Amino acid sequence: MFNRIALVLALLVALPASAELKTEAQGRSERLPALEDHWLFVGDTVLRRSALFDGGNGRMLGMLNGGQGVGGIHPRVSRARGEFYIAETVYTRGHRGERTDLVTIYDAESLAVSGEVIIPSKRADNGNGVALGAVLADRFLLVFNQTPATSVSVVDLESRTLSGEIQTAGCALVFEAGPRSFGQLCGDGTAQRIDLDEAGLELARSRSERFFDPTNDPVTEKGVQIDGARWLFVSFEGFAHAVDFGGERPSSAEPWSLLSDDQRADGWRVGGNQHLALHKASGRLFSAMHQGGPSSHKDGGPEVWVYTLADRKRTAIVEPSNLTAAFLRGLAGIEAESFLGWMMSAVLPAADVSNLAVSQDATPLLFLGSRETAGVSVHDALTGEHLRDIESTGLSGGLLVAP
Amino acid sequence: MSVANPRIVSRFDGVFERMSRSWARGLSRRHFLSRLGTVLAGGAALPLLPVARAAAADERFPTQEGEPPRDSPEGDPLGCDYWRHCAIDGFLCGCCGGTHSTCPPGTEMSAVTWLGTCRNPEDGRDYVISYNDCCGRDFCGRCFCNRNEGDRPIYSPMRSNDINWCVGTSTQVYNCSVALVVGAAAERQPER
Repeated sequence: MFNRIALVLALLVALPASAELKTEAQGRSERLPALEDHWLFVGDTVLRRSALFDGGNGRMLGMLNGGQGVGGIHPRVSRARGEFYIAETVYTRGHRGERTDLVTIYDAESLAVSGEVIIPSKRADNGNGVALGAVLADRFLLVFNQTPATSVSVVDLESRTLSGEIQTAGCALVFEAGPRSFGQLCGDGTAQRIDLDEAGLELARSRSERFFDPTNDPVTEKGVQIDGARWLFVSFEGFAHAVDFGGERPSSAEPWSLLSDDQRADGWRVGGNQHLALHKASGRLFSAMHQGGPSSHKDGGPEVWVYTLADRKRTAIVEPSNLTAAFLRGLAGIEAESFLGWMMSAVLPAADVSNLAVSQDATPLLFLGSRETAGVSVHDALTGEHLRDIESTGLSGGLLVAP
Repeated sequence: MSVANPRIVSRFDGVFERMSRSWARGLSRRHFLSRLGTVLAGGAALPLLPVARAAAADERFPTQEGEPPRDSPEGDPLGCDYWRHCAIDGFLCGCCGGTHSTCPPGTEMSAVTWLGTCRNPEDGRDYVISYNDCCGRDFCGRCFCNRNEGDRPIYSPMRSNDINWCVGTSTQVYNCSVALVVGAAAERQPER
């Protein structure tokens, strides 16, 4: 009896102690697991950053900063090295002082800066931010320069040094075209390939025949890689040009139209900042479409048309969720499933889709964003089904990068 | 410098549908700042237009004889529909402490720029317009305007309004854009 009483007393005394919170350690930071297929970088031109999200659940994982500039922040990735790279411009006094251009190297798990490489202070800065860099076979990082004279800086990721600068007069941008090769588009309507040696210096260059009209129907910079050295570019008027940067010299296939005559007559056009995305394994091509006039090539659209590359047929239309509502819900802390959330989607004018990205795994996600608002509509890339929104990704829209 | 979407100005004038349409069209690169106030404050943006129009009639924003009347959208230098803005991409310097032809205090006008060709509806003639960027301060964030007549991808740099034209200045930090008349165009530009 005495023992029982003692036990009850002991428990009564112990209870408050067990309910007391434990002391927590200070100074801890999260680490990321190995890079996952459904992750997505979402740029923000105003905040000068690219934030990393898990597209599978909409959760923010971390972010990388960019320096000064008007363009989008586009992280480059080497999975083999476990690194992210940002080419950026900084000044010693913030927005003034001595300019330095550099490639900042981030560890992909800690997101800590693990190194940097100073590059020529010529880094291209433009509003669309597309095709300004590329990683070749986890060995070389290319940074496009435009002052407006054009060149490409080559960074050796192994030694973390600058290999050199390659002059590319008349041609611009960088498109991965092999382990030691990159492609460019040129102002005369041709394509160029430049091959590198093992030191990252120019080995050879070759040029295609003229395949597009840069004055009357230019192809946009926003091409998608089909595989290896093959890329697909689409012109202002909606004609798709498949370009093979490989072979003896770059070549292009006969263009085909994304639009029927009826669709054209109804004013449908391609447009947007990243108006194309391609799921390579299935050959599903996604294109943002709008109805507009001849100068509307930067306008996003309310619809994303889905094609299969093999037969060049349009197979589906995907409509995004209300991206304006997705942005504002997050700012205001309003649940999407609430009545107010529903009302916002129903009433607010929806921002058009201008930025597309798709993951490359077997169960791919399609990401639809807008330059106007900071929200992303996430879809099953095979069925088009809307899965979720990533709300309030920042303060402004920006480049979507599916690493 | 350059950005890309049109007809920002009068978007709030119209009915809801027009608002929606312009919303879609209005933004791009430096887009969002111009929009942010609108998004966050909602209807608070509505009074901006009359304010802008009042400023357009201000003597500090002189237009030339032969340009459209300043009380018309095509003659308002603080409006995106201003005829000279047919290919501009950026924040209008007139809303940022400068005018449509001068930079705000403390900023420096880029000497290197790109040229557009716009038709003056008043005399029906085409003029070469120089879109110089003002540099040395961060984004102005006001009166964003993006129209793309004749704009071309950046592999045609002198035809591209996307490029940050703060080059040759003490810093490449972009603030806003002006639209200067360079002269009458000998012929209409081929790009549309």
